[in-house]
Amino acid sequence: MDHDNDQARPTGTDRQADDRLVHALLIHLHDDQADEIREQRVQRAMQAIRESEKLLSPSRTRRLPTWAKRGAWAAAAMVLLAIGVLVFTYQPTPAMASLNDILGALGRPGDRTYHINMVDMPAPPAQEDSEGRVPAMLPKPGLNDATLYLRDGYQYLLVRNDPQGGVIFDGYDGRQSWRVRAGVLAETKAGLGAGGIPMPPIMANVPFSDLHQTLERIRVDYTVEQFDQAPLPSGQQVLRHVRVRRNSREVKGPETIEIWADPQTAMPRRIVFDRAKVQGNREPCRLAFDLASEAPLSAAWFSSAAHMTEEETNRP
Amino acid sequence: MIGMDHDDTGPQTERNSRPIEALTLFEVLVRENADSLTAFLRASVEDQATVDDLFQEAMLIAWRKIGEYDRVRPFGAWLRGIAKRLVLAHYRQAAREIPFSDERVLDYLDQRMTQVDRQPGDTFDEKIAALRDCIARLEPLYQEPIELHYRQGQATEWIAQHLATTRDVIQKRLQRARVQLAECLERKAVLSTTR
Repeated sequence: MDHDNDQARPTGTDRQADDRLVHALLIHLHDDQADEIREQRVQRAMQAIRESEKLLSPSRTRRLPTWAKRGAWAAAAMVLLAIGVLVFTYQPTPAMASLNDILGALGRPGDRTYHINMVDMPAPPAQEDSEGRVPAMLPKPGLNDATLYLRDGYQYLLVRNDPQGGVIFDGYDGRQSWRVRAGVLAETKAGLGAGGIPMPPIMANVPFSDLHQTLERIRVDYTVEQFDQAPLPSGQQVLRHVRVRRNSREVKGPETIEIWADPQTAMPRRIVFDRAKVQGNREPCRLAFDLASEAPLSAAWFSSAAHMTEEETNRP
Repeated sequence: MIGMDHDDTGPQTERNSRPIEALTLFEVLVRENADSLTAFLRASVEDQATVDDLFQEAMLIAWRKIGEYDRVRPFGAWLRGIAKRLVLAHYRQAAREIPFSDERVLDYLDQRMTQVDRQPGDTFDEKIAALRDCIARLEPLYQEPIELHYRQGQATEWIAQHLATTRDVIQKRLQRARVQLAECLERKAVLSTTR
């Protein structure tokens, strides 16, 4: 068998590659939002190119005369001196100070209830199959319309719709994490993360059950892009507004996080995770957390026992 | 046309003199080849977020190295060459012992995509239009899971319940359906390794 024939007859590995290629083509073929997503992808790439262009200064490619080099060294020494003074008398910028307030607010003792919306969530199309039948649709498991309860910045309870009917409770009471499904205790684990991962599987790539810790990552993995006073898009009260962007693609998390916080208490009223990856969704989506209440919840609210009966009757 | 100089300062010089025109032209080329590159990346790496990240990275490098682009070659193939190196770097960085795609597999996918690019049609959808016909020719046993999984976006677990069978059976049917679709596309000369 000559080399050409080898190429013409795919091996087992090639068959696997074909399988993945056909999978990719099928995804593209059936994606109703392909045009829109392509445009977003192109625009993001072009924006990244424009930003990288701004960093390239033409002067970097020129050779400097000796007097200019000496001047540059003197300027560099002055900058180093200035940095030394700044480090010695360090004060956080207003943006960082505000961010510190916001992160501190979530860590304070107390109960908070957030309502979760998956914005821009692509709806699966209901189309007839080849025989004219419209297959029955079941809701996909997801975080849309879920509720996240937080206590003292570390206990949490996530309540979301179960695609099999009823609701799923995922919680952490400070000692163990647990899951109640169909009214019975389905899983427990010491520490954070029933099921062997830090968060419920649905949230494996959207680290926010432990919202306080998630937002703490902003300090190292994100850069403040915008800081101002602004009302919510649907509101009138002027709030503290911060938008941060992840430092690199190596950071596993949403591309941007936007927070509107109370001007006095700094408690986040709305948190928006943009381009967050949610299990079960082909494309990253936008998740909005809206503060629904700061009313105290029952003492046992974050324990599994409080939710081991039927469905809605357990909600506060 | 976009800068063709081969030294490092070439593209910058070009960009400095006609930055808007060059970038606009580049954007047109990127848009024309975006779907094809995305399909290649989807076949090469596991998750969508990595596809998006590598797509952006590939474009940044392509713009930076635009002076090295040989106009005789198709732009899409050149982009795939960049993407191929990024995919390999991605697996190296992740320290994966058995990468999802090694160099030989990526070369194979590249050949397949080159053949797709050669199909008649202005858009990527038109170039893979034969796939619709191939789906229509599948037996109902295989066609139904494909429709439910890809068109409706249903999970295999849901499809298994809907069709009163097990998840393993559905995964097997999906896999067999994709094998049949690949064979159908080969017969239609959409997928071929001939250079």
